[in-house]
Amino acid sequence: MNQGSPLANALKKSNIKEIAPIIILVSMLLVLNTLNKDFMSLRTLFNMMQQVSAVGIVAIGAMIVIISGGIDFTAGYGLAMIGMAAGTVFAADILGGNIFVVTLTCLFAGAAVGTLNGFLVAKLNIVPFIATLAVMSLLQGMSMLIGGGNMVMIREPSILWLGQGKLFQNIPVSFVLYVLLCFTAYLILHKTKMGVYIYALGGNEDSVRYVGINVVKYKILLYVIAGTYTGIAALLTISKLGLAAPSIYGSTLLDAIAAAVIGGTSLSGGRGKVMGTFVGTIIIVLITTALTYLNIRPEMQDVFKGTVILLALCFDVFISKISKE
Amino acid sequence: MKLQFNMIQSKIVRDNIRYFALFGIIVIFYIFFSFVSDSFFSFSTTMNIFRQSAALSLAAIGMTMIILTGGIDLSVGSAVALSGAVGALVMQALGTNTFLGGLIGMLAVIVMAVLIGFVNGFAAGYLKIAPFIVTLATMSLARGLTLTITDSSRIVIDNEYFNFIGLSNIVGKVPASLLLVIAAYIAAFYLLRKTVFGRRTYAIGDNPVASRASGINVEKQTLLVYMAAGIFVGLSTIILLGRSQTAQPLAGIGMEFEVITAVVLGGVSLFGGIGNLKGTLLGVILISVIFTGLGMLDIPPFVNYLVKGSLILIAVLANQSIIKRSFTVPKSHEKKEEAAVSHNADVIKRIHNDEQQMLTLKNISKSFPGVKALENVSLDIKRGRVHALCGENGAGKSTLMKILSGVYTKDEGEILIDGNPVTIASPIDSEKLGISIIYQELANIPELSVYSNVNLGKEITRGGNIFLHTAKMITKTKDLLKKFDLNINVNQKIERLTVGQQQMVEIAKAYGSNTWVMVMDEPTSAISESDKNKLFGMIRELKEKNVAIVYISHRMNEIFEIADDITILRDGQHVITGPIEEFDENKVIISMVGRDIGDVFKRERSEKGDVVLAVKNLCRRNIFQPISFTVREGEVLGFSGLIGAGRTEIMRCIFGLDKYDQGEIYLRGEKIRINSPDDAIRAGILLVSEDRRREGIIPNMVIRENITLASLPYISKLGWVNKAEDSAISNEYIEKLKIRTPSAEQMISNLSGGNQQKVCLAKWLTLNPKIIIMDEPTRGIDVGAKAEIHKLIEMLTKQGIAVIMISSEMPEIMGVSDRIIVLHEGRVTGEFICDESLTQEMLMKSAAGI
Amino acid sequence: MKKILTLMLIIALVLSVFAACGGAGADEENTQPENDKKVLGIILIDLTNQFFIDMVEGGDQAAEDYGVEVIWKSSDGNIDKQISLMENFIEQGVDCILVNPIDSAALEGVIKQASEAGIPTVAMAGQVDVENSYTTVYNDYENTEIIGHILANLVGKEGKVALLYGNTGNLVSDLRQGGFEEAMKAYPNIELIKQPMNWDPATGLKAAQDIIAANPDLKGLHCVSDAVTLAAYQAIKDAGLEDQITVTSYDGNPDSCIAVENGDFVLTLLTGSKRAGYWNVQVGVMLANGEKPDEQIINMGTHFVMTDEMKTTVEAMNLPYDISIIQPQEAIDMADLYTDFEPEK
Repeated sequence: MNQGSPLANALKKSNIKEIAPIIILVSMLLVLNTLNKDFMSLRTLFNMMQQVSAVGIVAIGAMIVIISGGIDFTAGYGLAMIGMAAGTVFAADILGGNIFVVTLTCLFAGAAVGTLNGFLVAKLNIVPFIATLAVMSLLQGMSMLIGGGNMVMIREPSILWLGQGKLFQNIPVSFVLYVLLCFTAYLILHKTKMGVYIYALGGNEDSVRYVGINVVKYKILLYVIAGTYTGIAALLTISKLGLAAPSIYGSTLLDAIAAAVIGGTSLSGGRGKVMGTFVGTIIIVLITTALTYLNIRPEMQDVFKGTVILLALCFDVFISKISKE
Repeated sequence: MKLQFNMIQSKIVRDNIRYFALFGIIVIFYIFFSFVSDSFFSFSTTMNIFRQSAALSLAAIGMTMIILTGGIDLSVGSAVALSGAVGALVMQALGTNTFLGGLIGMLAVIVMAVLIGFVNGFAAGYLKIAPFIVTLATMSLARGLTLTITDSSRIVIDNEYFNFIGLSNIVGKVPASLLLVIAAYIAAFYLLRKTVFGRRTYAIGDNPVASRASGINVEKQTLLVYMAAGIFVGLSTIILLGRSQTAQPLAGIGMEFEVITAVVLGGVSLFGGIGNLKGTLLGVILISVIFTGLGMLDIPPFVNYLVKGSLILIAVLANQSIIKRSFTVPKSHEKKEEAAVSHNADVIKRIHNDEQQMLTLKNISKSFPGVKALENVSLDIKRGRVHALCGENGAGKSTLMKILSGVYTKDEGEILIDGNPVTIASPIDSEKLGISIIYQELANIPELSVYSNVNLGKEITRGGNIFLHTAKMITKTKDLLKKFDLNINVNQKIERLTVGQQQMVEIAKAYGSNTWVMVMDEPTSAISESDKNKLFGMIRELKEKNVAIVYISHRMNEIFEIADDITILRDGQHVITGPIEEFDENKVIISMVGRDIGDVFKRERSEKGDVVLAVKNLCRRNIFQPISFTVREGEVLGFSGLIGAGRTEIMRCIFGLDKYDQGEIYLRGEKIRINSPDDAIRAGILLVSEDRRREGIIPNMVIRENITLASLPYISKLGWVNKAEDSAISNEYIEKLKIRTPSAEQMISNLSGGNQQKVCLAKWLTLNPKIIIMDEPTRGIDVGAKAEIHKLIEMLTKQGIAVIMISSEMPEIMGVSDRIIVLHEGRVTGEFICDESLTQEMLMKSAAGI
Repeated sequence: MKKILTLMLIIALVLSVFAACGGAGADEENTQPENDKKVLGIILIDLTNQFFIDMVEGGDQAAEDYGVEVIWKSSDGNIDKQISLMENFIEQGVDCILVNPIDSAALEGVIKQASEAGIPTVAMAGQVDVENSYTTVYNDYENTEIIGHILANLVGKEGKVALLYGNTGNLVSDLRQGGFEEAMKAYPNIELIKQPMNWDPATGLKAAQDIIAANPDLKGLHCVSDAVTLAAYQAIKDAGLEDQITVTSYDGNPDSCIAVENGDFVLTLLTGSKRAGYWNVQVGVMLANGEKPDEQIINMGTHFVMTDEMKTTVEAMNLPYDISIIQPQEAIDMADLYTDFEPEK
């Protein structure tokens, strides 16, 4: 039928959409290296490894939700709330307040948030945009409520090790954890039934329903996965900082979604790759790091971030247009 | 009469029930807070509420407009900060405390806000990027710019004229901002209700496809809406700045969520097209009352967030239940399945043992509002045989098959397997009974691999039903495909395959799920020749495997090549059934399109004028071959042929909906270039689409608004719609076309199909077209209405209008046309003059490509 | 099903509001007009920063001690909200309003309104020149200037020094940044690198990491908020540069004092968040009772926190300032105290 131009066909075959994030990253690195020789050092590399971990994990969770055709706004304040929950458990010495209890708290709290999200979206049929927006507000309130909003110092070395520890003296444990979680996500998405359904829901939800798959169950499950990932990110964050406070969320939410989108995850669902999000996360974190290296005013951070996202989107539109012709 | 009045009354109540409810809730909360906090119930508190919510209410106007178009704006807060900073800097540069200075400052603010709106609107409208992510990016960008140009410091605004609105009171405690808010709401109200702009805003949110097909430039309108919203954001900024007499770099953080909450509370639908400012205003007031009230109580601050979150949820849930109730299809169309005799379980056992032989549809009837889609249709489907199902669009084939597959439920009749009645209430039932449909729009998941698609819902797992046993699935899929001689790499994404291959995979998948009745809906319409041959090979295989196939198609050669039995439907009724040997092409075509000629209205032919439209070698690769024709004033040129002939596609190109690859169009001898419906309309060429649901009507608008949708520029002055003319035109055409409705203010979705079609026609007639193209104008319309439409066409020709009519109904096209061009699969196969020598058979032969 | 859930949500919402009211009401007497209890309305910038949370604790204690009612409100970092909250307080007719201005200039108008309504106001760490409005501050500018000098001397008056400030436009941050930079002017061989951290530990950590990576020869770091310094210090530890980089901090968190004791930090400054809360309420009570302080600007004393060793070193610098230095353990004890250093009347 439609032959299409040779360029279009070449584009389709070459997965340029999947390569695009890598192209962006490499160009950024080259530019940065020219501008500041100190940039490409091992120190930078190891620093960035630690810095990408928390955001990266949240971004993977966000990606999973977006692939299924939804969106999750709860990552930001969720991070704060879960962190506070863990910190409170630690401070109050609940069940020993050791690393296991704290980790379990994070996982459990994360899963709880995910369950709430999933319930609202799948069972009550509320548009994910609004549902997670509402829950975000709720979480904001809860992060101030838990433990009275008091900052908790975490001194327990075993807990601190997660966020600050190094393997082979240089590789941050948090990064290793991040890579492991990337791998897990990859497994889920490509080697499990659940993964097939996640893509399917984003690709053609009706088809999924008509084949008799329990859409409600799987939707809730995938939000739970995202929530658990947020929980792990919270654990790493408080461990890295050595403290838990309601304000630890920073710009995680925007960064995570941007990372997923730049990495090639389509907002309309059905498309996304772990590798892409991984690269996207590096790009996002790199922006802030680069600005420090180049001694550019920190106010410009948001300008750069916003511009990069817009450019990535335009690039996406451009590529899609060409491949259609 | 009385009934109509009551209907209108209750409609008003029903429409406004949300607003009454909101108002009631506001009152309840007001009373609640008055009791709980002693200083709440006072004039100055109320004034405070207005004062503090002024900025929010203005921003909410902008957000309402954007959400009405189906978009969203997350950058409101940052836009406020940036435009405020720009305005403050400008005033700082001017350095004067004068009225003029203040005015310039305000202008600077508004211009900046509109500029941000431009960026958002351009990306959303022209680049078609999802508004959500665009505004997320602009939010970041604008905030960064604000911090940069202000050096993260606040800027003091000395100009008292600028600050006046936000800061001062006019009389006693009454804030000046209240006046601005009232003025803005009135202005916005009129903008949305009484102007062309407003109408179009609702239209593009409601049905962008129909809007474009009605001549609205959707991209431009989207851009304009975002920019207009910017004006209100600018006003909001002015108030916000005035209150603090400074421009803060961190102004507006979190504002977008408050605004969205207010708008959603007010009942504006996030999908677009539904909602109005009444609701938004109430939503804003409700939020303000609640939060001011909470602010006056001594409660821990986190409660605010919990309340905010819960409010949104309640608003949305309430919205959903209201929408559900007002849009419920009248009960008569959803008769519950008689619980009586349902042998699903036994039948399934039979199927399990592979004992079943025949599926029977008996006396099936199904109606939709205003249309009887199926009347008393029966069909026997036998295993191991290919049963062709033929009929024109609207004959009822798809409806029948959708009932079989569980997407629709029948009104009357039975479905039996080997004489045992079964209930099919949903697609899952149908699947359990072993029935599959391969639709024209493929049902696969593009991004997943072939084997994933084939095994969807039936994955082979290991490790506790979690992990995929990829190797096994690949093997299984390969084996399955091999049965049909399909050599496809099952590892690749299914979207890489050709359409034909994807279809065959779907068929294989269905077979693999123990389907014994497979329905194929126009399977060859979008596939290549070689794929078609493969498909037929597959069908023969399936036959050998004792699968029953229902083959829906209009292509004669295929039917005679592959079918064993044939059933023909027409106008929702069963015409004839029999083994294929008893038929020839003629008989099939006659049954499909032949009707009693005697019934048809014979149009009085009128004087023909000059050639008004000339099309030369118009061609669209792979869709239709170069075609040339002319039409004169007062003439009716009919286009006949079967489905898929390409007639609609040709007309879509002439109307600017699709791009053509080559060819020229001449209007009265002058060459014109048509790139969009707007161009066509301006040239006086109009198209009444065949798919009125998708391209014809704006469902949530009333009849009057639909009728005048395309003529808005002519009944308005400076963008303001002349209400009198609006009603006059609408009433005129309701009468002229005999549209049956109690009033022009009825929702168009409540009309019967025939009346909806008349409205679509009316929409174009209001423009006094030179050339009007009608694509299947009387499809799905009852006989009486058909005759009326034919009379209308006569009237048009008498006025010297050239009419092009696409129709599959022989009597109609013969009775109405002056000349007829017949198409078959994209090429012209016949041109006839409508005189006594023309017979149905001649047309049918051409239509079949003989 | 959905309608029931909706209804339940509404009920839950209303009940929670009631509960919150009830909970609040149980703490103090009902705010009935006939009650003579004075009411103080206090507006903080937000309630997520530990400093403010501690202030609330101290302030509540003072409220109990003095028999007044305190209504705490958070403005969530939003100036418009601050204005609205003040307007509401004025409307409610509280006896005194205390506010921690995000921007003093922006609040001038509404503070004037309060004054006209006969309500005295206290701008905590902010300065508004309106009658009946008082300012409570500590000497942030002078203190950080002193710290600047100390740090400069400790690093040998040359090299790279980093400053992590809050965010420009925030008065406290500006003061603490200003004083430090002023001191640095006296040392031309010192290169100052500054980054904002938005009072957020995570941002501070990242900023510190990036600065260290870009400047591996960094010699000193000062951060204006203990909560963030504690996080940023992780970066220093991580890079193994604890011996190379001298760290000073501000606020006097117990954890920070421990760090001083350990030698991680060289010094911090005890502002005493709980004390601040207590003390401000004291001032508020005074005003509510109609008493007028002598000065419009009321200073709260602060102490530098150092080990004895460091004290000796600093004293040897012979800086032209007269400062109060206490030991870390003392500071930790004091942090829990509310009453110390009566405001100068």
